[in-house]
Amino acid sequence: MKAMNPVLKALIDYAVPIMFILLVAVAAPLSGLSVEFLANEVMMRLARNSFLILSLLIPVMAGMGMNFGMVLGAMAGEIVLILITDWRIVGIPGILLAMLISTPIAIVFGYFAGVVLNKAKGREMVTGLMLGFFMNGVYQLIVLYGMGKVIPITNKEILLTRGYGIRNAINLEGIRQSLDNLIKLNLFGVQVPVATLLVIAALCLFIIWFRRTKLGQDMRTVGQDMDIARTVGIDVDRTRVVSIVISTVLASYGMIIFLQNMGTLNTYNSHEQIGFFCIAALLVGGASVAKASIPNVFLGVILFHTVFVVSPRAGAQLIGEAQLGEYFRVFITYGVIAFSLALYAWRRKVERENERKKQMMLHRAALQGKGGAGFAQADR
Amino acid sequence: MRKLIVRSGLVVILILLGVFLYVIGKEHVLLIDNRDFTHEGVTYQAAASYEVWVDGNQVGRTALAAGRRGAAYVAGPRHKIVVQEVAAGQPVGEPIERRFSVPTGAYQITINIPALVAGAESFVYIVE
Repeated sequence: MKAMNPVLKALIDYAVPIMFILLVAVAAPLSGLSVEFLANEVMMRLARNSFLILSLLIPVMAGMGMNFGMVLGAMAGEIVLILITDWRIVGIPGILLAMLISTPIAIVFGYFAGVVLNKAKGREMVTGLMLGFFMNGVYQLIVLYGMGKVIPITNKEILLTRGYGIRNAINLEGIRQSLDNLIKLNLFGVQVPVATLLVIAALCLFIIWFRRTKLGQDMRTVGQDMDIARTVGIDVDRTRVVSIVISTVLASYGMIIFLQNMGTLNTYNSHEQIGFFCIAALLVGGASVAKASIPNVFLGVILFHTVFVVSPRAGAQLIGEAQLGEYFRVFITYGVIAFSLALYAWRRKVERENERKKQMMLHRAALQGKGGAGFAQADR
Repeated sequence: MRKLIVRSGLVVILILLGVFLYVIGKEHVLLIDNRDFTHEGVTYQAAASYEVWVDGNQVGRTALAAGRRGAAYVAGPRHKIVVQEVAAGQPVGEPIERRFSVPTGAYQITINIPALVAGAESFVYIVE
């Protein structure tokens, strides 16, 4: 059997990041943006998005693919941000209180998602996606009809004029960039939100530590082979639910960090695209449905968001239409997900085919071995 | 049983942490009045202009003239206010510093500068 050329293998393995590096190399000079501006934008987006994307790593470890159900965590974060805006809790205490209150809500959402995903083993991603759409309806019911009627909301600024339901956009001025501005460093003209980066670093350390724990090892075993995991006594279903619960809780914290950076909450839209953008960024970083690591997160955020920043300007410079760049951004997001999934499916198919050929060759060799021994006996 | 006690203890600690964060993060609007104010039959007359600092941040860009109102947003229950009388852009006398606390449930609090300068305890009051 012929082994694949290592260069070709690396090219296939890192096809998406290579494609994006080339894209950045072409589009960045075309955009005409200064290095300082670009560096500031990327740093801001790194601080804004990394926590959310890191929340996707644990379900991948447990073999559940990209957790499209992370939008449930995002919704939990948003519900609590609406509440703390109503209660007028500001600054770092506001962010911490939001995280504290969102935890039990995200645990409930995550448990629900985990149980549903356990019923759809092997189809977790599409089920997670559908679950997100379903929960979006529940979220709208709570926010559009429940808040102000069932859940008391006293702040008139966030209520619709009819007296119940939350407005389309909420100003999060009270917590706006509280974490980002807590410790800020100016490094060669680049504003570095040190506190946010420290929180992200803490999550990275948690993930590294978590991988070495018994539960982390169990998740890896479940991710590699559920049957083997069952044989060695691991409660597969429980482990998978725990991975989704952790991911959902982290996603809720990530959403709070994301929105404190933005300073505005689009009540009915903020969470809708978040799953797609985070997953696309992770895939751009070189992750696959079966394997994702911390470096994939950071490489992904840098490449994906650099393209996001430069593409409208590059589009405007090239064709004179900035709008084209906007279409390009959306096209890239969905295109990357589709391309990565197709690439993953193709690689799985090739691997299976190779495995089948290997088994056949071994089988044939074993048969020949048996036959050869027979002839040798006959000769004697 | 031990596990249950530990978990219950953890929940209680988290609830207390939540209450603590609520109290220290609760935002209040301080309406700072340099206006006449009557309390229990005593009238405090607004006559001078003052520069005002709340928790180290100046209220407004210029001095608060007699009859004017300024506003400051603060978080948490305990605060410090410093007022300095000014005349023709120059400070007059020593600054006056007072500490006060704000009830967690109240959103709008009024501070009356003439009452504060006169040393009255009623310089801070709630108007809903």
